[in-house]
Amino acid sequence: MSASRLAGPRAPYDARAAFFAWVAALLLLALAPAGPVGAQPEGAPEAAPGGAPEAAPGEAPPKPVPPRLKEAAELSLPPGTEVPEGGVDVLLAIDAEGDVVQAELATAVADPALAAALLEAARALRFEPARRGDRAIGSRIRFHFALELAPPPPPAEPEAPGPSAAAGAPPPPDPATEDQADEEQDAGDYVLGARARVDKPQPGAATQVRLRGEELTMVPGTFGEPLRVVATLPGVARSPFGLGFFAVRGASFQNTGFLVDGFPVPLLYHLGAGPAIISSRLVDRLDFFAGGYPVSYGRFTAGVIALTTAPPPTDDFHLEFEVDLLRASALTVVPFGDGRGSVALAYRRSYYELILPLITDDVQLSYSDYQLRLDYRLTPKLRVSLFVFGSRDALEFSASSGTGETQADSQTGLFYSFDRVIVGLDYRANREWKLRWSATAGPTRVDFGREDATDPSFGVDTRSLRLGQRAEAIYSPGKRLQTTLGVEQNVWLNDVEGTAPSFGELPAIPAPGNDRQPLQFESQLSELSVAPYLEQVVRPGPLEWVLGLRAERLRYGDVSTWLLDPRTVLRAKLREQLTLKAGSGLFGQPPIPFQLTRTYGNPALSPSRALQNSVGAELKLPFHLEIDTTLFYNLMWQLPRNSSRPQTDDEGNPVLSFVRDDGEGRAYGWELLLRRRAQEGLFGWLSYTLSRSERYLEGGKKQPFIFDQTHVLNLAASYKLGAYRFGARYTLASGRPTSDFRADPDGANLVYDLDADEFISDPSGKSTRLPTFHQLDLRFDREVALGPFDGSVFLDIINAYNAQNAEGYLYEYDFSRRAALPGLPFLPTIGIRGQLR
Amino acid sequence: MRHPCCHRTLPAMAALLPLLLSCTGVPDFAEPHLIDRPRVLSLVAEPPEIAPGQSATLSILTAGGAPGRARFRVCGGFFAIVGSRQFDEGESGGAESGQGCGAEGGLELGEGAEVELPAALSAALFGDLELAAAVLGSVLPPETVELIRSQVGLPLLVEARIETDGGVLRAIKRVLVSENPRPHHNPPPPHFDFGDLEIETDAATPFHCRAVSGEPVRARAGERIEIAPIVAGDGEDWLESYRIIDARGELSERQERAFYGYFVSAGRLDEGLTEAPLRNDRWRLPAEPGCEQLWMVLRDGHGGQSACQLDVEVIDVDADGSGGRACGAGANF
Repeated sequence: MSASRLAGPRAPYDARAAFFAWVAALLLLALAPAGPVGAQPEGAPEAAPGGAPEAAPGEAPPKPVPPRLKEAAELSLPPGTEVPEGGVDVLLAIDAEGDVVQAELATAVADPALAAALLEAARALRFEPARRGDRAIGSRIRFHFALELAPPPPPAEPEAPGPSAAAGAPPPPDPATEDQADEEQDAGDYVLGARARVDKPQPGAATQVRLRGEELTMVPGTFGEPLRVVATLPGVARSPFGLGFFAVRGASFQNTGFLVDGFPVPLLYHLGAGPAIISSRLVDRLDFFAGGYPVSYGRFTAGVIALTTAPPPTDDFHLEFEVDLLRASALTVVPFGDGRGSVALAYRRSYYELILPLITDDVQLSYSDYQLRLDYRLTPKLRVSLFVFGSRDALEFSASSGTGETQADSQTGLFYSFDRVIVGLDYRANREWKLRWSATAGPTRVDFGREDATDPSFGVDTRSLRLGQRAEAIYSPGKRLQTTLGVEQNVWLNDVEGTAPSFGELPAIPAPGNDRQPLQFESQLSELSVAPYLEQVVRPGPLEWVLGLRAERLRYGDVSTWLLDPRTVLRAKLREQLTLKAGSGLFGQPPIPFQLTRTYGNPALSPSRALQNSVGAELKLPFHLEIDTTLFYNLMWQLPRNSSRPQTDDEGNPVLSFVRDDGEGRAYGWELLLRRRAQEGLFGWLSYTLSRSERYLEGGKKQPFIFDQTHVLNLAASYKLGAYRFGARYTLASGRPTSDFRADPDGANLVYDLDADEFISDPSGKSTRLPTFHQLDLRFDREVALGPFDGSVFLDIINAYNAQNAEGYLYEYDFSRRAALPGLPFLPTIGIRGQLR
Repeated sequence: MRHPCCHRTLPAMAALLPLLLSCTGVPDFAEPHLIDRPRVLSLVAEPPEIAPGQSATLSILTAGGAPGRARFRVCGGFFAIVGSRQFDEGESGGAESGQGCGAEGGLELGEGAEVELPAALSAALFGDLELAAAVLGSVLPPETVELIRSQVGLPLLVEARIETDGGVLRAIKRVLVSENPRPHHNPPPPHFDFGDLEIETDAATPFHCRAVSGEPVRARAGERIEIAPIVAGDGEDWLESYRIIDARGELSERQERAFYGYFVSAGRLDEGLTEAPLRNDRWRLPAEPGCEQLWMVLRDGHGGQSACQLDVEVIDVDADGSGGRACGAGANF
């Protein structure tokens, strides 16, 4: 730890003026009349749908730009529906807002139910409207629904009076999109037209929620961050201050993994309640497995949040930006090779140094992240991708003690940085075989330290290098069978060094201020794992049965062991609208590196284990509603737990092990998700979890887990009306377990430690819970035109009615009184997004 | 107690704390070094480290109207012997232990302002390996108990219990029993400057400080007085080294450190607790004249303590500093 890293620059006070100028500019923009999108210039002739504006004398009218599909539609077909070979054409009239105002079948469809379903899906499509110059115009197009698994055609030219657009047979399928169609087919999706999807759960997943598009970025109270949307889903306990630590189905937050394109990342969010470390615009979809995830994933005993990235779809140079009170970001996508490839580059940086001085001079915070993504289709069957991303976070806070000559400053700093490269190859040999390979590498550094004039410096510096690869072969001879054989290999090389308080020594006579002697340590820790896995999917009739086995060979510390994880999932589609599901499986997780150091941990820690079981049902209702309900029961054992009881090593010497692996517990409950998929501008969901999570104590006693919350209710909805979008999210959750440390009226539970100069309170028999949490978040978006950019101005309000929620308690020095530790107050954030037309 | 594995998440959460408290205000909690209620301030064991078969004298200093007499007990049990503040998640209770004797537990030593820890007790506990092992519980084999006992010693947990009108006051400290050929000692009695006045501990009256010159100690209302411990040379020459078994199970040397605890009956202190080399504190005296007290408790971070009380007459701002009433002397006010 170098002292220079702790001497951060202070923001100059004149930066406040610049900050307020930004705020004023954003407010003016938000309050200004609607931009020219959809409006006609004064005096210009009104353009009927399909009508062309008159050109100035001597000038040729600008060439029209066709509409572009923006929001796909869902189509559920009854089983046994016969679809016309080659698909169906539909004539669409699209207004200047991008809405379909008229739909008419251009291909004869004998089945009235299919015809009705197609027209309903067509009317639900939304487009970027056609343009002539900088003006949006109405248009008519012929749109092709490819009902067999063919790639989608590009949008047809708009029909306009005057120069007649080409009409007739749709253009041949574009090979550039064939791979995307195949990938979506492999995920169980049924491709219709251009990117209209019907999502099916991934085989081997007992519980899965998939989010896309606006569901990822428009939920109130999530700052537009896809990963924070997970906090609103069933099975997820509310984390303190909404910091984004996910305690899923009664497990600790470190038992849920975060994967980007199949590989774990060390940090999901920037520090200080910041955004996710990957731009939301590069997130194609988010899959949340609250439990029972497929055998292709491992190393976590609770759930997995898997991000799949992709560049924003575009066939032209694309530029967008976003600016709000806390940060700015930019993204650009450049296609090349006639659409065979694209390069996307994104960067984001915070500017807390402008804001924090308005509140406190003792905290400094900054973060930045970058992403570079390259995709290229080498051949129609082979696609390569390169994803380079990284994140930097710096948090420093300082405190002063004393005045005058005795004044001394202490500074504490936390620095997080990591970089990753992910290379991927996807090869579609034929309709039956598909091969995937990907590899990752990159360093991580976490540096925490404190410097003080009177106390010895404490600091822990962890540097890691991660290497990993995945290879997978998928064999699908037909819809009834699918076999997946894969292997995942990982290597972690960790270097941990530092000076930290000695948390245990004999005899233990404490000093005032909880002051402890420093202990220097240095450890090189490596972890190796090889995990082959096999998954067999069998689909006899309406059933889908998945049997999988993951066998992971682990070597770390003093441990060399196998984790054998059999898993099974059964889905039974009783009717088109009703599916029953059940799953059971074993899951394992190795300890984190710090728990394996000889000084503060235990290199012989066994990996944690969990047996997860669930049963549930999925029900499709009218009006695009779905219900997903699950009962779960999980057992956990070999859980790490802290201890400083003296133990002995093999030679009889006393050893103060701080981590033991004999923790046990269970979690059980019921989850409900009532969801309306994004259709006609409206989406939302209601999620409710009723659960209990317990840990076992010696003697057979049980105590609730620290994040146990009996009831967790989230209601989120968002509706688009013209250029405006309104959203709200309401959260209601039981308080977390806590203890009441207040002194008894007679003080019998209180003792003053004269060596440590502090009071100790015994809360035995006074277990309680924090008060019920409740909060309303709102979000308003308004589309605007900003010169060459289309964009939106948004207002995101956390805790709209300033609920006084207690996230914990602060106690007086002798525990005679306590005060609630407040949660986030009313917190509005305004910002602006734009993308180059 | 915070486990080192939490160092990643807690700083991230702690960053929000000053922001939130800036918005909502810091709770109006009492100052811990302002004596406005009965308190136990110090329990001095002389000597703080005894050999098996040696006795020790226990003396207590109270304040805030607490009686100057206490009921003393020695506690048994695992946490008492290996030292308090051990922790073990998942054990019954789950909270930190080392919270003194139970309501009726422990071995009675007697009652008073000063009692003796008998020689027979230290001899019995230290000399009987089975007793020590049984007290530790079945966690450690006798060989390990012997290793701990012979290398670093065994701390006894002493509890002082005072009944008051409002309830009970309980305080604990540790007395080390060892075969150390160079046992450690208590810090010397407090010796400091109170503004321009040199203060020393009165050898005739326990826990009582007075001016070296013998004059009454006076200060003006609202005045800010610097309190500066007097040390010879570059630092505290009474600090000693001692041995412990560290977290790695290895024998290590540690160095004592000087901690200065300050308490007042009115007004406000800048620090309350300081550590060498930044020893000084400053007392903003109350605005009203009267008799007030300053207490200093000196600790070495290894169980050694010394303490004294200084009576201060707070005079009117416009007074000429003469006459007036000398505040009552004596400890345990």
